[in-house]
Formats: sequence, structure tokens, C-alpha cells
Amino acid sequence: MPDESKQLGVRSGRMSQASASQTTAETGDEAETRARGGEQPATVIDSAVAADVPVIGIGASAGGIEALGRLFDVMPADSRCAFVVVLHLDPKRESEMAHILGGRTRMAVVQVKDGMRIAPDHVYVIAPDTDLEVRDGGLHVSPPAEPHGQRHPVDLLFSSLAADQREGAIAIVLSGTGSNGTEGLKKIRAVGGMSLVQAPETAKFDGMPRSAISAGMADHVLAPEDMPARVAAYVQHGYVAAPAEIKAASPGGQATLDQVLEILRVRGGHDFRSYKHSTITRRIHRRLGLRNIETLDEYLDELRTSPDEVTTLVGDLMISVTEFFRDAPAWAALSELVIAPMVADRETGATIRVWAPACSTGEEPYSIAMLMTELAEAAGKRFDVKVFATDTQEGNLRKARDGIYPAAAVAGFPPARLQRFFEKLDGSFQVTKELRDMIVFAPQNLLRDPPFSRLDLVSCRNLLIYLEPEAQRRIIALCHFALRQGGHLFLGNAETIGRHDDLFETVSKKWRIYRKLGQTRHGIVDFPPPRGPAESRGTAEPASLRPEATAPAAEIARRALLELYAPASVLIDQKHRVLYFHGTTRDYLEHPPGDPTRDLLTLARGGLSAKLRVAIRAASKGNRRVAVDARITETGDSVTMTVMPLPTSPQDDRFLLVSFAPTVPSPERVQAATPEEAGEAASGERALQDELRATRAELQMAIEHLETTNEELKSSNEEITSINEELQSTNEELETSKEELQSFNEELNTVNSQLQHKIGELENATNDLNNLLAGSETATLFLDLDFRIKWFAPATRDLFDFVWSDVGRPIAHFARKFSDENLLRDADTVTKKLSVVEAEVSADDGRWYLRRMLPYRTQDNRIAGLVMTFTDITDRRRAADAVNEARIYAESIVQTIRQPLLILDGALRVRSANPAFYELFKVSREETQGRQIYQLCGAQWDTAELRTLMDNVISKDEEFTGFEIEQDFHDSGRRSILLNARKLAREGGREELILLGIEDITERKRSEELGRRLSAIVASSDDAIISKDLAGTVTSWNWGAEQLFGYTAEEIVGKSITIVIPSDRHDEEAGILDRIGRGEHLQHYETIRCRKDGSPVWVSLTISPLRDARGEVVGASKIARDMTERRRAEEHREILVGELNHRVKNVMATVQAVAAQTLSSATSVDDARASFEARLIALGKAHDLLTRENWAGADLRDIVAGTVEPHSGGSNRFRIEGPPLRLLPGAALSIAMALHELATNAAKYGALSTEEGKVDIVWEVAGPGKDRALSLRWTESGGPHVAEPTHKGFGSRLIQRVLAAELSGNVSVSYQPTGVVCTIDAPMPEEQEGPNGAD
Amino acid sequence: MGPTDYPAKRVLIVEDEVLIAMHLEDMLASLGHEVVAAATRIGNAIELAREGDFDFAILDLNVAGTKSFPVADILRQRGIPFAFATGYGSEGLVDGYRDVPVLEKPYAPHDLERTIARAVRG
Repeated sequence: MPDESKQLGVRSGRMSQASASQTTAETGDEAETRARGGEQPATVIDSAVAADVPVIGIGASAGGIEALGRLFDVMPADSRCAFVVVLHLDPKRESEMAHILGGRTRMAVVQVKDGMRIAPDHVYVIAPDTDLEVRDGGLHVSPPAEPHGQRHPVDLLFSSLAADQREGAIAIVLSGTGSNGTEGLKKIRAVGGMSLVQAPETAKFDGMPRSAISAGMADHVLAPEDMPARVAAYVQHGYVAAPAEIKAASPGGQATLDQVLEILRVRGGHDFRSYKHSTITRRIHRRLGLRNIETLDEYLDELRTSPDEVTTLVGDLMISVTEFFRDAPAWAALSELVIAPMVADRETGATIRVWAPACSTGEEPYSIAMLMTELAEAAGKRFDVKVFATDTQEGNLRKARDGIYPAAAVAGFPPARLQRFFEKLDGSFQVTKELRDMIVFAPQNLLRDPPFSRLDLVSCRNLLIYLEPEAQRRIIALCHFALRQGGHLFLGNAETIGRHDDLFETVSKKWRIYRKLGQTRHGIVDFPPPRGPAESRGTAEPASLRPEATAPAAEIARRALLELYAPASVLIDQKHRVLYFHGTTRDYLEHPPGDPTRDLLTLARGGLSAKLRVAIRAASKGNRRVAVDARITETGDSVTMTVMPLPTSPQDDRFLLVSFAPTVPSPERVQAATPEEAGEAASGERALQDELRATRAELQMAIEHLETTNEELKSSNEEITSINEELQSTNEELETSKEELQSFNEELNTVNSQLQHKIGELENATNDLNNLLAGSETATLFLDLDFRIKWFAPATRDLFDFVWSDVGRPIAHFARKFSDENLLRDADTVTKKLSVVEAEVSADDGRWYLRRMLPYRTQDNRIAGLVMTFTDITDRRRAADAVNEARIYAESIVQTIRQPLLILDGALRVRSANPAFYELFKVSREETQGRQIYQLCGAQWDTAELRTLMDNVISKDEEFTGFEIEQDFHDSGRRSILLNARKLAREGGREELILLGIEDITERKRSEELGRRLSAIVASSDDAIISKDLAGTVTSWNWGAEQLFGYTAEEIVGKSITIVIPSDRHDEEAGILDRIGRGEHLQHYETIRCRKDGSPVWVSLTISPLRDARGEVVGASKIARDMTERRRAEEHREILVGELNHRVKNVMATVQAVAAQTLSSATSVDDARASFEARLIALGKAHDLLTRENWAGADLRDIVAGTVEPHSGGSNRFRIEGPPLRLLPGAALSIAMALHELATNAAKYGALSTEEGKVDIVWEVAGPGKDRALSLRWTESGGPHVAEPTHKGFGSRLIQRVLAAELSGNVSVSYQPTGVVCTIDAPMPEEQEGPNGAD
Repeated sequence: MGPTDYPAKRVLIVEDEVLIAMHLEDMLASLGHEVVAAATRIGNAIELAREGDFDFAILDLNVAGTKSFPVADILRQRGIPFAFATGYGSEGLVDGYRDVPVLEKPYAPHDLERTIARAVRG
């Protein structure tokens, strides 16, 4: 029965006097203290200082503020209690909690700082992002140990509160989600504190309260406002306020406690008499505290009248505290020392049997099974592991079988283990089926029921500490019996095998692992009878005969006298068994070889037994004292044996005392002998006679005895015969029974296999059903007739906040995630009228469900509740909505569209028309609907062509678009109309409808025409006309652009305009686009662009923004004009201006030179002026000639003629002869200057100074190509005699130098008597001709 | 013309316009310098620049349609100072010769003198 009932622990410091009576080292209390490790430090006494202040820990989460408010509204401000509040706070924000709570109570509310001392009438609120613990009457804040989201701050607070306050600890769990607090409450309860849990129906979020309640951890389930009274009663109760007075509070003392236990045994079916009374007492006292009952007597009355209290007390006495792998090092030792060797030794397939008695909620057997499985898998083996897990509490076993544990219970597990053995369910974890199948959970009471046997391991941890030593011993012996040879026993840290070291050897002293020694011994295990009063049993033995250590003086005297004077005696029973030896019996009794015996007749030495038997018979028959003499065969000593029946026992089973004494001559015998003393012979004869007489008597007795015996034998024989017959008949009966049993067994086997089969089928069916229900995604819910949940499909959780433990709770208690006011009413209807009820309900998340309820019929057609299914019809509903929307959508399109539309039926009659139609055609609805289309619009549509098309639409399901009609309108003249028609797709053979779309394209045609004209203009323009979007991508490219840039439209449309922009001007484009984007126009923007061949081209751009219908700028149109020619002309002009400047300056320099020369050689001013003028004129004429020929050169004849003409004086005094010869400007000027000088000289001094003088100017050109040469002669004649001048003037110098230099030729001037002769020979290669950029 | 404050120069002139060349010769002579070589074409001028024995040169920028920079290059190499004479003004010069003194046609004798002095001190 007992599980790891962790009853009240140590009484803390102030309770030390109460536990002082526990003198042995192995009391549960102290052992428990050690088991807790260091968490019970030497400062226990310190805590007593602050322990005067009851500390109440409050844990809450979502919805907690409201609950706290309700609690503190009612809590008096002078309760002398301290409150520590832990909430889930946002770790990143400062908390306003203290402020908020401060408004609900007059107590001081503070946010906790590390190291604060706890003072009464204060409320302490946890700071965000911290862990809060109560220790030594102070508050300790630490950074959270677990990452955000996995913390259990409430558990932490409660655990520390339990360790610090012991039974004074009070914990309150308020609204919140999850299971935070439940684990902590276990600790609170383990030390005997009180737990208050907010009633789920009053909580905004009932997760935390429900978790605590379902774990059985709630002492009181209350609304927050009811809690203060309960707290006050508890802290004032003797249990907490004056714990030492427990004994005084129950004057009846032990007797009353026994009464309590008796009630528990009789009414609760649990026998706690083997439990330590101190523990039980405190636990009962705690109940008194919780119920606010002052005395045990009152409580006894309560127990007698309230079965619930009995159940609660039984539960409290057996509160289970257990956890997975509790005391991890012990488990490591177990793994290493026991399981690992076992796994190594056994072959795959071997059976391993384990027993975990008092398994509580199953953590321990699961731990063993996990350990076994892990080690076996590591070794690559598979065993048939059977773990028997037993407990007395069916509730515990049920939880253990379910194997569902809160996340906190498995928090410390390595992920691999969690993954391997657990499945995650909501916030909790379930042990896998594989592991659950390994374990057999069964009810068993270790103190009462027979044990299992042939076990490899018994894990019986933390049970013994609660039991009295006697019960401990019995359980150890029981474990010895249950183990196979060499099996192991695993005890709790505070437990030992006690004095049974002959039964076990120690494997690990520290971790309490023992190995069984020797064979299983029967008889050391003593099972009490199952039921009934057996109290007298132990005292029935004749224990009174045992020597007593504390005998009084009289007794000592009596015993000494006995030793001294009493003969050696034995006490026997009717069957001659020796019960007691007195004195020295060795002279008379001897143990024969063979089995030990207590039979007196066997023990009697030779010669005594026959007489003794007779004497005993006689004595017992006659109920009188009988004495006989006998002689011991060996020694020949004569012995008197006195048999005396003892009257002590009232029963038939009488005892006899047999005394032995050496024979002394009796007086009677002496008397008899006297007369015969005279003669020796006579005396010998007498002796013989005596002997004969004695022998005769003996013989007589023997005969009598024999006869009696014979009689007895006869009757015995008869008896035996009858017995034999009886036995035979019994045997036959047994045979029959055996056969019956065999057949019954057979039958059972069959039934069993059938059952197994059925179970298999049922499992399959269950699996199928589960999968079906899970797979159908139909949320299915079974309710009983009280609308309590019988079963629900997982999908139901979309609609209700169910967990599996909610089975059995009324559906009305659950918040729904959908709005359905009629749920219960409909359920009522279904169960009353047995009809099916359907309704559509909308869930909070926007989905729609079809809620269907129908009666739940059992196979025998009984109504056992109702079935509720929720089918997700969101899609269907949405589809319907969509259809409706689509219809509205389509209708509104038809109504609002500006294109006229007609819906026609199969006979081409108008079904409906939209407003656009009436507007365009200026007709009314009455004029239109029901008419055939050929009648509409003055029958203008009644053409053969349209009829054919419409017929095709109807008969061949064709469609047509763009059938154009020209139609006259009254007001707007002739318009172009396009008709489009198609059959509307209609499913299911419904009436055919035709949609006729009408489009007035007059405007469109006009604009298309305009567009075409514009296109033609653009296309034919020589200017490049380009359009681009705002990203600079080219969208159109006309012929002019192709010509200008060399790219075809195909090459560039769709690409960036930057292709034609030189790389150093890309920035420019961004600027242009930016300005265009702002709507600016760019006029005559001159820049350089790049042709396809890479050559630059000067362009003038005119760029305008392109706007869409809304006026938004969407691009730009660009007109580019080739500016290259103009640019070139400008450059040319610049060059010309420069050239002109240069020439003018050169000319001026020439003039300067001429002037200087003229002036320096002139004889007078007049002369100088005349010469200067003449020279300038000559120079000017030559320039004239060149200018006339555009400075390309001049003909020699023209030069000659022009130069000499001013000197001819009107008559023909010059003979000019020679072939035409083009001279370069320089040569022309030089020759002109030279001839001018010659002519001037001739006019002054030569042939022209006379009337008759003449000048011949003759030249020839000889030689081909490069070798061509000019030979020119100036010959004067008819003038005065000429003498060579004394000094060379400017003229001759000029002639020489100029011609020589300019023509690279030879010039000779000779002064013949007839006149001056000048010869010019100059090379004149033909290539010198042609354009030459001479100065 | 007054005396110069530097020794008389032996001068190369390159000028395609004979009249101007003659005038230049006269001006140089009047300034006390001696024209030791004259060229009216660029080919001849290059030849004389390479081999002639002179210590100053005046180059017409545009010699019968050809720019006289090749001649200037040679003079630079030989370290002989020179000046350009041009009707274009100094904007006719290319990079690298902007620091060379320029005589803008038409020029007076004192222009010539100053230019020579500048070029020589250069």
C-alpha cells in the first residue's frame, strides 16, 4: 500500500522538543532530513525568528492581477502575515505591480530587493526577470536560472517556502495558464503546509488552478475573496501557532489516535498501524488545522460522519512525493553496479523482473524501465523486461498507467531521453506506449498482500522511513523472499536493511544497494491474516513459562528450592511431546540418533519407556498421580517415575509432569520384606517372587494394555478404513474436481484467448476509430446525459480548451472558442426528443462550423448521451459567399461598365440591358426588354451578316468579336459600332444566354486616324524623334533617329537611351530626366551624342514630357537634330577669322617692310610717297587676283598683265607671251612684286622712260612632271642706254631675294646696253600646283 | 636704336615672307645683331637649326603653311634661345611653348629688342 508517502517532515527548529522522543538514529524524520541534502542547513534555528510571521506565497500569471485584487480587497491589513507575490512579468519592462496592488490593500506593498527581511503586514512583489526565494526569513533575488519561457518562478518560490516555513508554509495558486505552481505545491504539501487554489470557474485563466487541482495538490479550492478567512483560521490554529501542544490538545492521547487509525482501517480500508505514530499524529494535526478543528475528539466525530474526510485523510497520509531519477547519484550507482552487469550477463531475450512496490504515480518504475532500455540498447540487446509497479492507491495507479507528466517533471532530462521515451501533449509529456507496456501496474499492499517472486531487482525507496521498525523488518524479509538468488534491493537514501545483514550483503553502502544472500527461507515471512481481529494471536503461546528477568525474590527462592529439591522433571502434553525440561534429566533421557524429536518415549533411556507409557496412560486416564519403578537397562539403576496430570489448563489439552528419581525402598516394601529377612534363600526367593509378581503385574498390564491397544487398533483400523474410504471418495472428488478444474482451466484459456483476440480487435477498432476521428478532422465530442465529457477527438481542441484530464467534467464549464448560445439548449433537445440538431456556428478565429448533435446510442439501443460533431464548413461558406460576391460583382460590373451590354436569350430577345446601353442608344427599358435584337435601333442591325454570326453563336457555340456596324443616330450622326457576342457558359442544361457587347468606336477611330497621321509625320521626319520612359528606356525610334544614330529601332527600343550618350555625358541624361519628370520642356539643348560606329555627333535636342491620361509624366519625347554641319561651319568660320587676322597682320608686316624699305632708299618725300603708293598698288593688284581666285592661286599671265598694265601708259609697250601657268599665291605675289620693281625701274631709267621703249615678257614652261621648270625673261629695248647702278636699291634686292627665296630659282639681272634683261629660272613641278595653304 | 646690354647675337631667322624677312634683317642689323642664316621653308629651317652656328633664332610660327614647332624642338635641345613671330598672337602656341616669347606682327624695332632681351635672359 504505502507509496512513497512523504508525510510531514521535520518539525523545524521550534519543533525539536516534539521530536526529542525519537531516540533512534533511523527515525523517518531525521532520515528524511538527511535525504534532503544540504537544503536544510544549520540555520534552521534562525528561521524561527522570522517564522513568527506566517509567510504566504502567492503565484499567479495571466488574469492574476484581477484575482490578487479580489484577494487583497478582503485580506485584513493587520493579519500579521507577510505575502510574497510571484507573477509572470515582462522581463524587459519595469513592473507597476507594486503600485497596482498598493491600491487594493492598506498593507505596505514593495517590489522585492535582494536580502530584504520579511516583516508582517507587508506584501512583497517579485521584480521583473528575477527568481525569488524565501530563505532564513529573508527574500533572495537571483537572476533567472532558466531561459525565458521555461521558467517556473512560482514552483521556485513554493519550494523555497516549503523548505523555510515547513508546515507553516501557505501557498496560493491564482489565475494563470500552464502548470506553474503545481510542482511547488507538492513540496508545500510534503512538509505539511497548506495549499489554496483559486476555483477554476472564478479564474480568468484556469490553467494553473486546474493543473494543481488535477494533481490533487489543492487543500482548498476557493474564490480569491474566500481565501483570507481560511488563511487566518489556519495561522491561528494550534497546528501552526502552537505545534508543541498537539498532545495536550488531545487528552485521550494514544487511545484517540488509535481510534482514528481504527476508523481509517475499517472505513478507509487502510491500515496505518505500522506507520510511525509521530508522523501520523502531525499529519492528522494538519488536517485539524486545515479543517479548523481544535481537538482530536471533534475530529473523530468528523471522521465518523464524513466519508470524504476519511478519504482525504487517507490521501494526505499517503501523499506521494516522487520524481524521475530521484537522487540522481543513487541512480547512477544503480545503473553502474546492478543494471549494467545484469545487461552484460544476460543474453538477448532473457527475462528481467523488477518490482517497484509503493510506486506512487509511477515515476520510479518508469525510471527503471528507461534505464534498462537505454543500457540494453547501448549494448545492442533486447530483454523481456517486466516491471511490476504496485501501490495501494488506485488513483495513483491510474495516473501512473496514463503516464502523463507535467513539463516540469521531465525538465532535467537530456533531450535524447525525452525524445526516446516521451510524446509531447500540449504542455505535458506522455510516456510512450512501448515503455508503458513494459510496466504492469497493480494494486498491492506491501504490508498485507503476498509479494511477487523470482525478482532481479526490488526498488523500495523511501517507504521504510515512514514505518515502525517492526514493519520495516518485515518488509526487508519480504524483499528477501521476493528476490531470486543474487537479486538486488534498492532502498532510499535514509533506509537500511537494519539487522538483516544475514540476508543481504552490501553492494553500495552509500546508495543503499544490497544483494540477496543465500536461499529463500520460508518461515521468516509471516503474513498476517487478511482480515479480522487477530490481536490475541501473539499472546496465545505459553510465554509465561519463559524465565523472566525481573522475577521477585519469592520467585528466586522458589527457583532455588526447585533446583535443590525438585526431581528432574519434564512437562509433556498428551502426545508425549516434551514442552519443558527441569533439572538434570540426562540420567533418564537420551537423544537417540536421527531426527531431533521431542517425543518423551523416544527420549527415555532403555528400559524406561514401556513403564513410562503405562504410567502416563494410567495417570491420564485416572487423572491421578501414578508412580512406577523401572530399571535402566544400561546401568541397572532403578528409577522411580512419577506422572502427575496438571490441572492448570482448562482445555482438554492437558499437560503432565513426569518426574524422575532414583528408587528408594518404600516403607511398605520394607514392611513386606521383614518376615522374610530370616533366610538368605528365603530372601532370594522372595526377591524372585517379588519380581515374578511384578512381572506378572506387568504382564497383566501389558496384556491389558495389549488388549486395549488391540481394541484401540481395531477401532483405529475401523476409523482408518472409514477414513480411507472417505479419502478415496475425497480423492475421487478431487479427481473430478481436478478434471473439472482442468476443463475449467481449458475453458478459461479459451476464453482468455478469445478475450485477447477481442482485445486485439478492440484495440484495432479503437485505433481505427481514433485515426478515423483524428483523420476526419471532424471535431467529435461525446457527452453523457449530464453533458459531461465522455470522450473528445483531438480536433475538438480547436473549439474547446480541453486536456485529457477534462474527461468527466461538464461541458458547460468550458469556455468556447466559438459563439453558440444554443449549445446546451440544443443538447437538451437532442436528449429529450432524440432528434438530430444542426446549427452553423462561427468560431472566434473566423472559421465556420456545422455543429451537429445526435443521440449517442449504445448497442442495446439505449441513449447514453449525445454525440456532437463540428464540421469545418468555412470553405463551403466561403464558396457560397464567393458565389454571391461574384454575382454581385458581375452585376455591378455590368451595371457600371460604360460599354453597353445586352443579355439575350436563345431567341435573341433582350433579357436585360445595362444603363450604358440605354444611354448610348437613347432608348428606354420598355422599348428594349423583350424585343428581338433585329428590331432594335430602327432595325439597323437586321443584316444578313449579323444574322449568320448570331446563328453561329447559338448553334455552334462560336463567338465573334469586332463586328462593325455603321449606324445613324438622331443627334450625333453616323457612328461606328462594334458588336461582340458569346454564349454564357451555363452548367446543367439551363437556358442559354448570350452576352452581346456593344462598343462605340467612333471616337477611337477618329483618334486612330489622327494617330496614324502623326505616325506618318514622325516616320517621315528627318529629325530623330525618340520617346523614352522616365527610366531612360527607349520606347520608340523613328527613321530619322535610325539615320542620325545608325541604330535601327529593333536594336534600341527597350534599351537605355544611354547607348547613344558618350560615357562622359551620362550624368547629363539623369539631369534631363529629372527636369522632364518635373514637367519642364527643354528647347535647343545642344550636346554631343554617339553614333553606332562610335563617332560623335552634335545634336540639338528638344525634349518634352509625355503624360498619361491623368497628366502624370510617364516619359519624354525627344527631337534630335544633327548639328554636325553647323558646328563644322562654325569651326571653319573661327579658323577663317583666325586666318584672316593672321593674314591681315602678315600683310601689315609686309606693308611695314615695304614702307621701311621704300623710306630708307627714297631720295625725297615725294619720291618715297610715289614709290610706296605704287608698290602698295602692285601688291594690292596681286592680292586682287588671288582673292578673285579665292587665294587658290593665279595664272602667270594675269599676274604679269595686271602688274605691268599701270606702266603701259595707254599704248601697247609690252609684249607678253607664254603658256598658261598656275602659280601658288606666294609665287604669284613674289613675281608680281618683282615685275613691279622691274617696271618701276624701267619707267624711271629704262625702256619705259622713252616713248619708243618696249618690254618683252616671255616665258616658257619645259620638262614633264617634277622636272617642269619655268623660264621667264624680261627684256627691255628701245630705251636709253643703261648702266649698271652703283648700288643695289631696294628693287633689285627685292627681286633677287624674293624670287630666289620664293621660287627657289635663279634670278639674274643684267644691264645690257639695250636695256635691262632679267631672267628667272625656277623649278615648277606640277605637283606644286593645286591647293596649298600658303600664307 | 640704342646699345643693348647683352652681347650681339648671331641670329637665325625663319620667315617665309621675303619682304618681312628683309625688314627683320634690317632691324636686327640696326640693333647690332648679325643674321647668319635665313630660311623661308621648314625643311631648310630644320637643317639650319640642326647645323647652323648661331646663338639666337626668330621663328615665324607658320612657315608656308607648316608650323615651326619641329624647329623649336631642335633649338630647345641645343639650348639656343629663340622667339616666335606670328600674326595669330600667343594663342596660336601649343602647350609646352607658352613660355616662349612671342613677337606679334607687325612689330616695331623696340618690340624686337625687348623680345630678344627676354628670350636671352629667359
